[in-house]
Amino acid sequence: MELALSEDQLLLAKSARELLERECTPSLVRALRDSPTGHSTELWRVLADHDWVGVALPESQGGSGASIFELGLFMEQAGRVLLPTTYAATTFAAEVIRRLGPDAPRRELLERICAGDMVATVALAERESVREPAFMRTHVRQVDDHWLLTGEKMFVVAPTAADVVLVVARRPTSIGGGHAVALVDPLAKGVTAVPHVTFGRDPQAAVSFDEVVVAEDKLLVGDTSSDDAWPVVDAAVLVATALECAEMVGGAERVLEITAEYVKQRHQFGRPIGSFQAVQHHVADMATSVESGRWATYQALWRLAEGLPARREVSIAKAWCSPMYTTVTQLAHQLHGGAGIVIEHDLHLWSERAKATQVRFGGRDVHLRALAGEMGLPVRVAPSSDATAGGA
Amino acid sequence: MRPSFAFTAEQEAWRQEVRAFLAEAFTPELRAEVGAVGSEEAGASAAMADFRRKICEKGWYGLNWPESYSGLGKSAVEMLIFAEEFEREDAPTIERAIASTIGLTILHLGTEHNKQMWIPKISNGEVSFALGYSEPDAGTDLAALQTRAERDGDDWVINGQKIWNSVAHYATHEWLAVRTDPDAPRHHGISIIVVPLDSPGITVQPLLTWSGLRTNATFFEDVRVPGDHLIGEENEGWTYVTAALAFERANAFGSAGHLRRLLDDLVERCRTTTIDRETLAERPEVQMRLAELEVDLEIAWLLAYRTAAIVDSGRVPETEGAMVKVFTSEFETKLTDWGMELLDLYGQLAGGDPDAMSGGRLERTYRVAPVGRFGAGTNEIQRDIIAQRGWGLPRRR
Repeated sequence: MELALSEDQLLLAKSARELLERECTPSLVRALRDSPTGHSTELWRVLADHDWVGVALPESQGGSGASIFELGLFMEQAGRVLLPTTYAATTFAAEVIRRLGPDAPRRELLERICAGDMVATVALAERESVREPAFMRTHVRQVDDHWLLTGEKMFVVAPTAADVVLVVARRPTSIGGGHAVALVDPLAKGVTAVPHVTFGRDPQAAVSFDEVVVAEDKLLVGDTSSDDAWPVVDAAVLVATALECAEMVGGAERVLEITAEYVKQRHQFGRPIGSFQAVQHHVADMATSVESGRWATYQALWRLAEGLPARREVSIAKAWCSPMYTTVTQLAHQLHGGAGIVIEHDLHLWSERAKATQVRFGGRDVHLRALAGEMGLPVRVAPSSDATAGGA
Repeated sequence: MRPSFAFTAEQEAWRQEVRAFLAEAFTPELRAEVGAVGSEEAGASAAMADFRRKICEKGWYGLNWPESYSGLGKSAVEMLIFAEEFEREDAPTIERAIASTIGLTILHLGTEHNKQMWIPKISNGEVSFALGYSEPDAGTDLAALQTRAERDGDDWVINGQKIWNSVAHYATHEWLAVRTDPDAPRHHGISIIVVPLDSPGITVQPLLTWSGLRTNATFFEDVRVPGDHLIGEENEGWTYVTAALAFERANAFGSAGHLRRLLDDLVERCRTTTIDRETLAERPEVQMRLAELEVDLEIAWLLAYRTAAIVDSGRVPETEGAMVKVFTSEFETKLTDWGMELLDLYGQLAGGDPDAMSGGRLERTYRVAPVGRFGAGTNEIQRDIIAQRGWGLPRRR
């Protein structure tokens, strides 16, 4: 038991911070916020050249072979500078791909991702089914030597920047049911994306698939133990959730820094407003909340990196971080007063991201419910009698 | 019996009158304008000016003024009913609130000449005000204000800068707090002067905010104003500012009408949103959250009507007004924050998206909410007021 980072980890975080602060400035974040793709190919090239895109992917595919914990340390730094969501989307997709077969497309995809030649995203949630696979309707059916994909996905992150969309789809019950992951070119015939307008100003879309042709080797299925891809997707969601927490910790910490700096400089009544107890208490609450979120997140990341069961710890981290980040931004607004709400000030950029990350992979209630289940409490589940509907 | 938690027939009739007015005058086009850019910026349009004129014609700029000054003599409870209905419909009321507040301040503390000069023009809408209080270095510490007014013959000559000067881009006059005696103690050298906003030497610069609302930075360079534009007595301005702020606080932060509407909308949205084979409303954790919001909203509502009753009894609700302000402004953040989280991934959809809740009003209110907590006296200062003036705790400094 030693709650401290190693020298190597501190160095890794430091070099990530230096690169990101230099390359992902608030002015770039603002420019991307108003662009249709939300993506910078120049920034992506820099990240890939510094080996950050495949930092936790196998060295045999061009990655750096680091653990999920180190990837988490990078995400924390990414959260500080509001790195565009294409990075988290691609990381999530890579976590799905690395665990699925067949071997050839997997190797090719991972190599392209590590080289910085591919942005990827996962299409999971549907209009009435956000995270329960049994209730999803998007499905594939086999015709001759290929598959046809039909259905609609919602809240697909980075839909226009992505070179490939990983669509989680039901498989026919005739071959055992379960799920597969279809690799779809967003420009393919039958794919239609309708952008959402989001609070975080991050590109997301509802993407529908109308009998989209998927070649046999573009339909990924499970590892050797099972054909069903769902357990793999589920495991990747768990990793992505922990990484989201790391992003939230970094973002909240940066907001805390900006705020502490402001209250030291801003004078009223002839002294810094930071000398007032009421102000100090807000800063203390923010700091305590962020520090707690950091170690809850590190614990979740550590368990994932060690291959230990981590559902309990991931849910604790997300249940903590979801309100933490928003609350920290709210207190920051309180302490900045009018100065913090003019759009020239950068504070609202974090306030928007805080709300986006709050609900991504489930907010506080979703994870409290999951945690109650992990605690062995009898959590009521929704009826699933016709769970196979839509399985074609 | 007293107390009574029911509205009288007269109060209900008043609510229906306001509601009927809004149903007719606050058209779908005006609603769309408010939803698109926020109500303050929306105020600059011709349609919105027409809407204000209709409010004026009803005599509602003088809602709470004495009947002897062409006011309607409405009670604080009736004012609150009025505000609830306007906020429920998202109808802008800031210009009317400022007019009422300034009018009341002039009626209570102004000279007879002030009253003759300004009250008729305020009540018929000919004169409208921006409030010139804050400066870059005088926010919470308002008495640090530096904008200077000096006598030159019969005139005042004004130099300085105001900030957070909302509606200055379409109001006709500035209700300007200036320093007239730089040698007096901070609170004793301040005066209020009414400045026509079309005077030479005034520059109004827009400050756009996160919520989409526009406010302004306003600059005064050798601006010349007739001597009789002084309100009340020279160097007594702090008293008038304090009074106007107290009236404003009672006016602006009492009502939770918009929050009632948002919570109603949120409950309905939870009933009709199905995620993973159950509606959100079926989930126990969602039910508990909605129920907690209902408790808080009821408390906000009770505190507001209690404060109104105190005003109507003739006492200044210093402590209670601070309680309403703190509680309701923080509840506004809580309701909108929780509401967006409760709706799961749908909660992040913003105005302009067909699936955004209440046409984006929920997320827009989240972006407006910070202003409620630090504006018109920060919540930290309000808490000091409750502890120090309400409960006699010692005051530092």
